[in-house]
Amino acid sequence: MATTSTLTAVGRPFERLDGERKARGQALYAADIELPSMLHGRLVRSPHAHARLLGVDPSAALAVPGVVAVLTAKDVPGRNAVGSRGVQDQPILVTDHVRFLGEPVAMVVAESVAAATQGTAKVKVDYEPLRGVFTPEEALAPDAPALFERGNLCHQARTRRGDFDAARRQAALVVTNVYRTPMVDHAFLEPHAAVARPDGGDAVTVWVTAKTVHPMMDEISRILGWPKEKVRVIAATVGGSFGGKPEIPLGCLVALAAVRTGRPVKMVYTREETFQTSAKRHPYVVRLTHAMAADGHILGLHADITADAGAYTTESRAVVGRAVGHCAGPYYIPNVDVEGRAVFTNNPAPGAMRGYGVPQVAFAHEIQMDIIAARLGLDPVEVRLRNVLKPGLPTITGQPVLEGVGAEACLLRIRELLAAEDATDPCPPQGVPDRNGELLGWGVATFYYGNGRTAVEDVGRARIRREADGSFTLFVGVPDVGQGSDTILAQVACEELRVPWPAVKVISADTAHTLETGPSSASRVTVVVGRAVQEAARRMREFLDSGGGADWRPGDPLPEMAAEYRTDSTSLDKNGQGSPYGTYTYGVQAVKVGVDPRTGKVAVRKVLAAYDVGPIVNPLLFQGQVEGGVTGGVGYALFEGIRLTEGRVANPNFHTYLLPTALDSTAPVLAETVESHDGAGPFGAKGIGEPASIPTAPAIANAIHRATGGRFFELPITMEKVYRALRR
Amino acid sequence: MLSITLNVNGISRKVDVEATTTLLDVLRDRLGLLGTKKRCEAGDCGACTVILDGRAVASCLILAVEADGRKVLTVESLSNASGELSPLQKAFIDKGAVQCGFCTPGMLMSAKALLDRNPHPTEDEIREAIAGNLCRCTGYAKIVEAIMEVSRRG
Repeated sequence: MATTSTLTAVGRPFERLDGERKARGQALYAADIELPSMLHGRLVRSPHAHARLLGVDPSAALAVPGVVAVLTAKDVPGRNAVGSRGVQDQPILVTDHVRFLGEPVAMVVAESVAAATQGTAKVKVDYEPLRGVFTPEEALAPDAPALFERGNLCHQARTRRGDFDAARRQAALVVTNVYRTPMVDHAFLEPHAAVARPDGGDAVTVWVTAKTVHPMMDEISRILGWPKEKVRVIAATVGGSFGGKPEIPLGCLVALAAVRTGRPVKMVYTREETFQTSAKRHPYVVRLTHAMAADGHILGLHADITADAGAYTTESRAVVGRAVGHCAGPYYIPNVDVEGRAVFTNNPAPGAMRGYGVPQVAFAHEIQMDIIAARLGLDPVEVRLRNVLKPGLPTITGQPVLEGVGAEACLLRIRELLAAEDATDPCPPQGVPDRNGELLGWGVATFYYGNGRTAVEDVGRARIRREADGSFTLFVGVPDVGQGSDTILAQVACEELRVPWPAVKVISADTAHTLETGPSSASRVTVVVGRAVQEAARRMREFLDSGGGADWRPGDPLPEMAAEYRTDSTSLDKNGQGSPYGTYTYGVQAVKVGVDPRTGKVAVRKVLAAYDVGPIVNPLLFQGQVEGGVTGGVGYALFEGIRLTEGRVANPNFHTYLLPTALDSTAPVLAETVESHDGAGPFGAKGIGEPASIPTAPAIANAIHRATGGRFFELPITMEKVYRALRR
Repeated sequence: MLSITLNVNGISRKVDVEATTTLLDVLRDRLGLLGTKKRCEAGDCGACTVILDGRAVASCLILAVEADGRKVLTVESLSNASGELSPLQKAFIDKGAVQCGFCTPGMLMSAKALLDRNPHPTEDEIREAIAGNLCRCTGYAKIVEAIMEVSRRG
């Protein structure tokens, strides 16, 4: 365990600041917000995945008792286009071109949810259905109908270094495989919901469930055609994110409806609406070719990655941008030729989800490593050790690995732990059942993950105020999405202020009171926002230590300090070369599975993990992230997957889209950390949110192979697939 | 409209409801008890779990009229009269069983119903009792630990 022994707040398993409020049932989520004379919105959604919108006639809906207004694209006063990261190509209400099934064409606003729902059935909409495209392959065919004037290619990105063709010619072994991963849903339990309140005639306050509030403010101000100062966005208690939220059109729609009607408006999506229309994890097809030397060194990697971007850009550019830089895994590879693309289809648009394009490529590169090990007669951990990134070596984007990185140490530790397991509780040979009739096997997977946003200067900002009673208030722009970031950031502030826990109160994610500091995503909050918090706290401490604030009298402004932290990451050149992140988290998971040879049912029996994540700020929250991340990884590995039929989600609820339950998630998860010193974050800390989940699915796939001899190149590895493999 | 009387958290409440109104909607919309969460409305997720005459139920699947004359306990009933947290609530907080918190009220009520009828359950019995309560954040380990802890002390 990396040492934090001299610290008093950082490194302690404090209970989370919002725990009591949540355990009392007092935390208010967006759907819980009730305002006087509030109206309710429901959406009229397209039943077609691809269509021309010819007309919308609201007259019959307006005659329904309780219906107050019906909004269409014509009611959008500003620019009817929203999106993320600089690409705004999605209307909040369709103007003329429907691109996915469930896309909103009108919003009915009424005195009750029931009246609004009745109203939606009465809105008359004329469509001219168009031929749709539902796979990237169909979408890129020469005669494919185009979603946008510029065609169906959403984005392309490359990573090139050295000479892959030469490496291939020298190789003793060349291994090529194609891997497929499904679209999956975040499946946070809280519904998508938003509430807007008009403040006089020229301002609006909007409560959302979101991982970020400032971009939501920007989008709403553009939709309304208002200056940003007139739009206040506040994150209510957030019921899980995992990369998802805000649902940008939802926040914009309630704001528009509130401004139009002059009354507060709430809208909550049903579970089915969320499954059909909100962001997901991108499905990928990944073709990897490794050129290997006989001694197990990787000479070269060729990768071709195709992501289904769905109907709008959302985050696809950045997701693919991250994937092309991470598709090698944490290995030194001198010769690399990688091309990735995102392709528009008439499917619901995926967005950001825990791992941001990396779980898909990690599934591919980690099964490759096991196949390579088997072909060369090497132990799976050994082949990884021969190639793992060490300080001074470049990643495939040419970023030198920093001194103090413990990626190798993670592998060595896992090797020790696996040897101990083998000594005390050995698995029978492949295909031979143990005394309980189960086939057993361990599998490992390694990964690395750049902390922060890709190839942009990532900026964290924070503000600290000393209150009249001597306590402190920390203002940060990122919401606590459930992972505990308010608590983590307060611990950092307490430590730097040298005040006892918990003398710091946190106000987060309110555009009226907090500075823009990027989203609660990219495993960046602890690192990037944490550094800004640390710096603001340091300034406050120095101010107070030097006698500042000593002459403060009631009525004076309260002493306040703000700070900004910028990562030293760089942009990438046309070959994808550069230093896209300030720091990386490294790690290895080893998973033991038991397979029932009669049914093909796979059970995860034990999980060991070793992380280079810097010092742990809060061990309780760290363990929570790892256990939750592993459980998400188990779902991804074994049963989760959105089933699409011509753009329609066939499993849009929790009885058809199954999540791991307490009965599926019984394996102990034993996570350790290794010494590491490269962390850019406060006190050297790095991010764990996404790294918790990334290696689990490939480790399970490798374990199933070890147990049964079956190789699986496509997720999820369902019971039926395992059963069939066992019959072959 | 039908007139019903519910005993909610020990207090008798008379409400007029439609035949189709669910117990969940009465609790949230009529009685303002927002601790009980509404999500799938199909009995899949368990976020709306309350205790009805001693049994944990999904309140989205119970019509208000079915609850007429019966005893309902919600998460708001767990702390005592002076507002002190129950041992179960404390254990959830201490053990890290709460993350985003959306499943927490329902999870607490399923756990309470179990411990009320079986104060010393096995781990398997705990997992069985909360199998209808989905949680996407924690992986369940800390929730199971928290319930075990209360059982050990109780």
